[in-house]
Amino acid sequence: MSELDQLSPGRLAWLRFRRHRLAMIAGGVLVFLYLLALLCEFISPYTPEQRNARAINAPPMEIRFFDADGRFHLRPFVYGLDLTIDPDTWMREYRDDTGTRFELRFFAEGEPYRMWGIFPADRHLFGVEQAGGEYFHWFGTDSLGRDMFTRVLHGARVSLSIGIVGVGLTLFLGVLLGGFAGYLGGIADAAVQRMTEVLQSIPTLPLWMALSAALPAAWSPITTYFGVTIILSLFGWTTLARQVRGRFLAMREEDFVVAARLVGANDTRIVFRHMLPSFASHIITTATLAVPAMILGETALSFLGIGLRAPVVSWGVLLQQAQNYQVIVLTPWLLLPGAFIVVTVIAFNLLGDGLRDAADPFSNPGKS
Amino acid sequence: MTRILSVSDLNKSFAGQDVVRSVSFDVDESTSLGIVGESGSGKTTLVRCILRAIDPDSGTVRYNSRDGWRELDGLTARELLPLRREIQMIFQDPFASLNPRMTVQAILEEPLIVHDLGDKAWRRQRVLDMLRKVQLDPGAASRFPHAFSGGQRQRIGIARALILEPRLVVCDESVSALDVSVQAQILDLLARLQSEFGLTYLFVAHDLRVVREFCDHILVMYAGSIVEQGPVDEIFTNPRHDYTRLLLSAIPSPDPDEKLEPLDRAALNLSVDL
Amino acid sequence: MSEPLLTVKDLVVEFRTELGAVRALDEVSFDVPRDCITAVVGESGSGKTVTGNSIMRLLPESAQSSGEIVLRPGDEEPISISSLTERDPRLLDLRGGLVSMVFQEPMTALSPVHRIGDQVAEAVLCHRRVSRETAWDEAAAMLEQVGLTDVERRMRMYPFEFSGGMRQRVIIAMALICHPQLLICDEPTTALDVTIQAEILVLIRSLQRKLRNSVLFITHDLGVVAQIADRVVVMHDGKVVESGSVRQVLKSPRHPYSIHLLASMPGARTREFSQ
Repeated sequence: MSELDQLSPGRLAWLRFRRHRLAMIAGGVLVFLYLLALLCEFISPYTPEQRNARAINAPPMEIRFFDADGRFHLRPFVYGLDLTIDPDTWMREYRDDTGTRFELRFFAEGEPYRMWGIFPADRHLFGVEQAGGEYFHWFGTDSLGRDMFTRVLHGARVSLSIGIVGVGLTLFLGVLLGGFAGYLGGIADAAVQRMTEVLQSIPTLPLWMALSAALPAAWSPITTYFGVTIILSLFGWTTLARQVRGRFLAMREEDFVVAARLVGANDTRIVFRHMLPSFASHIITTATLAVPAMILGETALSFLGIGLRAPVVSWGVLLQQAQNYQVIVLTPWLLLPGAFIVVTVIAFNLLGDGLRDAADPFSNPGKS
Repeated sequence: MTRILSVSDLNKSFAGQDVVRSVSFDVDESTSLGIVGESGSGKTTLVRCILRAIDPDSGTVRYNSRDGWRELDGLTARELLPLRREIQMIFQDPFASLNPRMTVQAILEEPLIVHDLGDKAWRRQRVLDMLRKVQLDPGAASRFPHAFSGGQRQRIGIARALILEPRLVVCDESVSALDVSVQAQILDLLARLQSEFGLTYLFVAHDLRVVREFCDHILVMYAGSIVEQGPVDEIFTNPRHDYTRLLLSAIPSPDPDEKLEPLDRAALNLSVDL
Repeated sequence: MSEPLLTVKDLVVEFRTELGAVRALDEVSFDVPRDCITAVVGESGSGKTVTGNSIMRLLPESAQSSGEIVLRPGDEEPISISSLTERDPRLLDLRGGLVSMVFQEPMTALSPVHRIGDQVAEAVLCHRRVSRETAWDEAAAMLEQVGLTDVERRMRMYPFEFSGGMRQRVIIAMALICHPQLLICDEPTTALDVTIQAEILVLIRSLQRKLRNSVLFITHDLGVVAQIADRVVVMHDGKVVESGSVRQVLKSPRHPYSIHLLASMPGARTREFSQ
């Protein structure tokens, strides 16, 4: 017997997962993104509503170590912006003003904020000396002169958490109703099944729109946030419920479940000791693969202006500014939230694939 | 000899199809009854009815428990619980019948916990004793099923079935998924445990050679009915029903000089007289 | 007897796994003579299936093999199967042409959405340029040979309308339709009931006597070996432990493992008990 024999199925799944390089990278990317979202007040150099009148629709500013004369500076810096307006076309154009150098520093003092809405602070992870009139917009600014990097990070908090909260709610509904249907069978099963079918047959977008329109405009941003999450989950649970139901039905006939019944184990014990652990891995995988759908759902609703609304900042809300082609031509950096969405969705899908590969051998015990 | 099980006129159908048709038989204590038949003959359904894993449509299953005769059908799950200690099952597939996420200790301990027997230390000791009885290393207790070969897993399955000290054990094709040499070891183990604990086996199998070696009595099933039953030697040497003859003629002998000449199905009378 | 149809020499197959390389075959050598049935017998993990798959070049990508497998078709140049590349056109001739295979599971080997007759005729069309009608007629003739009755009607039926035994007959017909010189049967009767198994064994045997090809019959059951094979190769743990004529190996086995295997047979034990 090798030492692998001593390991629990969970450890073995982890070992297999670690061999899945793409999934490991995706996992790392997601941890990084969630950390950014968690600490967004501190990491971002501005607050989301802070405006810089000297940089409206400014392009991303390049972080430099070498100045225009080719001299090396130990401290990275950016050049200030010089606005020129073409007298014929009235096109606004920003040029680097090589005469002004704004040096970047860690723990720079900036606009005061409340960390997680609780702890007052005014230090940001990095930035320039704002008091001295310096500015630094890594991802550029929007039409009101708000820092895009800051807004993307704050948007990440809303968009990424809506994925998790929404999937949590979906899981709860799906496992509860699916398990209910699968274990009880009979009328309960039929009722849940029909409900699923009805929900799945309704075109999603119009219904989303109807429900979102029903959200009172007077609601506070946080209530709207939960309202949208619930709307998304109400449609998400059906797929999961079907899978859970199917699993329950199949698992009920598994030899080791029959064996437990034959020694006299009661339903509670069979469900919680034998059935749920056996497809926990499957549920986790499904949940991981469901997060992107949630995030995309939020984005779609907000993009259409019926989900979250300003002043809430989410990736979908941010993309709303990018609805016309002028933006794409003149201020393409406003599309950056889209890049974050793409990266997040791909990372979740890769992670889900890795989890599925790692967990699968045990979801279906090998037949001889 | 004391009778331990008496089945009379048992019927079960699924979706209008009769799977078990008026089956009646008796079993004596400390004997082995082989139940043979092809796939679809109803042998597995029959024993699952006896175990009350399935409810029969009609008929009675009477079992001579430690507290006297009881009718198994019609008992509620609660009433059945004490009898579960006396009637246990060993499964066919040693891979599917053990929960892959539980250690061997947890698997073997579960019946004791369900029946609220002993404290933690006692149960632990009992598991170790049982592992020894099925010739497994005590170190096996902390491992997970995936660490074991098919034969070893089947020993764990046997230990789980016997840990409650049952009197009647149903073996549903319990050795048919195993390699011949492992099969021989498991059969030896089952025979030894039988003489040690006075067990009664209901031994479902499709391999007649195994039944001939292992069982005292045999029950031949065809299309849900019993076509013939009696002592093993008698059935093997002097089969009366055509179907039994067909089955026996199909056994491939390991002696190349005993040519395989299966009887022609079409020429036989395979009807079942009830 | 002339040169053997197939020679396997020093065949080593290793699989790369999470636990490192696992040796499935360890210098396996044996011959498959012409015009007879050779059985490969062993327990699970003995390497008998890997041997069959190596001859068909059906090993997964994680397998590394060395050694030599040479097929000597009657009137053609010998083919070194082990040295063919994946894209070699001769590999296509080989699979289903010179060598064909019957698997264990009769339920999954046939496509559920095509008629029986079309599937068998398709096997003809894959390897020879004949018209659909000719292919259909040849299929009918072959299905008759494997003991199907009422062939024309049955050929228009779908696999789900057939019992397991009938399906296995159809699969044997498909395997034989291009007159392979070597037929590999991998546990073809294990999933079948004992009475059906007996019929299929008798069928394979009589077809071999009629077609005079070679059969490599992989099984775990010594009873089946005794009833079907002329020669037998006993495998254990990736190695060939003994080979010879059926009568010699089963009646006076030399290797301790063969003796052990025979003694484990339930039938053998019954005799022991009654004596």
